Amino acid sequence: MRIITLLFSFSLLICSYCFAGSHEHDEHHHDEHHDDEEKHGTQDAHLHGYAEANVVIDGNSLEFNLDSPSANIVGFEYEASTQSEIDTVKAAEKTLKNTKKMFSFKGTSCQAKKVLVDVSALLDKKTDAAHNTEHDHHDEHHHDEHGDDGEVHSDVEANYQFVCKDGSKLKSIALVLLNSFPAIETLKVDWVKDGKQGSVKLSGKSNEVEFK
Amino acid sequence: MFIKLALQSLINRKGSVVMTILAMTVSIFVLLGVEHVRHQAKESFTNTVSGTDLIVGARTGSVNLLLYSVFRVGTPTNNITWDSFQRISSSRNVEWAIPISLGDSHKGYRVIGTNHDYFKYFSYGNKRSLTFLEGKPFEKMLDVVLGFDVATKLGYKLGDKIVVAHGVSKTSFSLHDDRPFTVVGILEPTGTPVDQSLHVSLQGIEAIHIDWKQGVKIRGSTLTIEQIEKMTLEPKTITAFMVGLKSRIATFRVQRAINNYNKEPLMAILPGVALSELWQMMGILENTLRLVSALVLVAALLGLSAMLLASIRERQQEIRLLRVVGAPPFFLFLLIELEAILISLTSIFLGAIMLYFCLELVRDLLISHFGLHITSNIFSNSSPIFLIFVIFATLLAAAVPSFTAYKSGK
Repeated sequence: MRIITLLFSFSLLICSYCFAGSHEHDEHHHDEHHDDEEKHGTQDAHLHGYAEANVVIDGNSLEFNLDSPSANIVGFEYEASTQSEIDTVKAAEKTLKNTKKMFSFKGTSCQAKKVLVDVSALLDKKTDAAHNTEHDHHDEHHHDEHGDDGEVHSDVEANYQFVCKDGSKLKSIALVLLNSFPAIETLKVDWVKDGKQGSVKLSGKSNEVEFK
Repeated sequence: MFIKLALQSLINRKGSVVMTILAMTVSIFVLLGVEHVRHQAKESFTNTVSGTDLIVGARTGSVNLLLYSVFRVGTPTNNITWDSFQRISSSRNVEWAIPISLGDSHKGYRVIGTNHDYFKYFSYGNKRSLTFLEGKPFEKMLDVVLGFDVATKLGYKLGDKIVVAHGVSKTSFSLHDDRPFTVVGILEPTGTPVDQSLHVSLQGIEAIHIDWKQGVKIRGSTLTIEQIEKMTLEPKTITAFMVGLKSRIATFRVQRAINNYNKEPLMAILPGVALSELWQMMGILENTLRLVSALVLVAALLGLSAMLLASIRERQQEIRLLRVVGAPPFFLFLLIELEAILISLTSIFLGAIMLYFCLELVRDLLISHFGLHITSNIFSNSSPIFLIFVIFATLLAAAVPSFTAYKSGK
C-alpha cells in the first residue's frame, strides 16, 4: 500500500514540475513577442510550426475554428507585396475555403453551411476589403500594433460551420488540412461533443480527432 | 494425470516454488495495481467535471486552475472579483454559474463558499445532480451542508455545531470559533471531491472574516450574529466559478470572450480539455510506471525460468523414469511448461487478492489525500488482456527449461 501512495505522490510531484515548466514557457512567449503591449491579456502565443483549432458538435451542427501563424500557411507573415506572394496567399485562401481539402468526416456526412477565411493580415486592406468588417479587431492587432518594429507576426484564421446528417453518429474527423499545409507540424485540437470534452495533438501522421 | 504429475512435482520442491510464486505475485500485484490506479484516476477525475462547460478563474496554467478549483489540489494563484463574476454570469450565453470561494477548512476538509446554484446545477458522472441524504441546502448565513465523507468520518449529524479554521492547515489554532456553523444538510455520496467538502454560503465566509484583519482575529469584537445578519454581506472576491452554457456550440466563443475580458485578467478553461492536457503530461510518467512494472515482471519470470532450469538437474532420475514408462520427450516439455503455468496462475490469483485488500486499505487514504475514488473491482478494464499477456510470457520464459528437459529426455 505504501508503494501506491508513494507512486502517486511521486506522480504529483512530477506533475507539478510539468506545470512549472509549461508556465515558464508561456511567459517566455509573451515576453518575446509583445513587450510593448499594454492591454492585458489579449495576446496569444505565436509559435511557428504549431497551430490551434477547436471543434464543437452540438446536435447536428458542427463548428470548426482554425488559428495558425501565417508562416505555417503561406510561409511568410508580412503583407504580401509581390505578385507571387499575393498568388500564394490567394491559393492558400482557396485551399482553406475548399472544405473537401480540409476535412473528412467519419460516421456521418456533413455539409458546409458557412465558411469564413481571414487572411486579411497578409493582404493589403484595399484588395481585401470584404473581410475587414467581419474581423475588425484583428486588423487593429495586426497592422497597428506591430507597425514599425521590424518583427511582424500575423495569424490566419478560418471558421467553418457544418450541418451534419446525424451529429450523434459522428465518430471522428480526419484533418486532411495537415497534408495541404505541411508546415503545421503540430495542431492542437480541443473538442466538445455531447458534453464530453477533450484535446489531442495531431501531426501529419496522425490526423484524426476521435470523439471518445 | 498430467496436471496431477505437475502438481506433485511442484509440491516436491516446495521451498523454491513458494519463493518463485512470491516473486511472481509481487510483480503481478505491481502490474495490475499501476494499471488499475491509472485507469481509475482518469475515470474519477473525468466524472467530477463532466457536467461543467467552463471553469473561470485567475490567469494561470489551465491544469493548475482545474486542480485547485475542482480537486482542491495545489493552491489558488489569485482571486477574481465578484464584479467579473456577476457580469459574466449574467451574459447572454451563460445558463448558470456557480461561484466557489476557498481558503478555510475544517479538520483538514476544505470549506467551500458558494450559493444555492451549487445544489441546483452542479452535476457529476453521467448527468447526476447532487441529492441530499438528510436535510436541505443552507439558508441562514451560518448554515453548513456536509459532503458524505465529512459527515461519516467525523460523525456529524443534523443540528451539530462546527467551528471552521482559518486556512487549510489540519491543526490550525486560528479558529473562527466565535461564529460556529450549524449542520443543516448532508449530501449523498458522489465519488467526487464534493464528498470531502463543507459547503457554506458566500455570506457565511464573509461573516466569519468580518472582524479579521490581515489574517488575524481582532480580540474583543462586539459584533453579534444578529448584527451581522442585518448587514448586506457581498463578497469582494471569489476563487473561481463554474459555468454551464445555454448552447454548447458557443463554448469556444465564450471561452475566447472571457480570456479577452479586459477589466481583469481572467482565464476560462474547458475542464475536459485541461484533463486531456494533464493526461498528456502524465503520459511519460505513466509509460515509465508501466515499463517499470513490466521489468519487474520480466525479473520474476527470469527467476521462474532459473528455478525450473535448476530443477531439471535434480530431476534426471525422474526424467529417466518417465522415459522408461514410455513418455515421449515432448511430454517432458509440456510437463515443465504446465508447471510454469500453474505457478503463474497461482501468482495471478494471489496478486489479485493482495491488490484487492491493499486497495481496501489505502482507499480512505487516497480519498482524503488526493480526493481520488478507486473501486476495489480490479477486473473491470484492460487487466484481463494483461493477464493473458502474463501467461503468454510465462510460456515463453519456461520454454528454455522445458527444452532442456526435452533434450535431456532424448
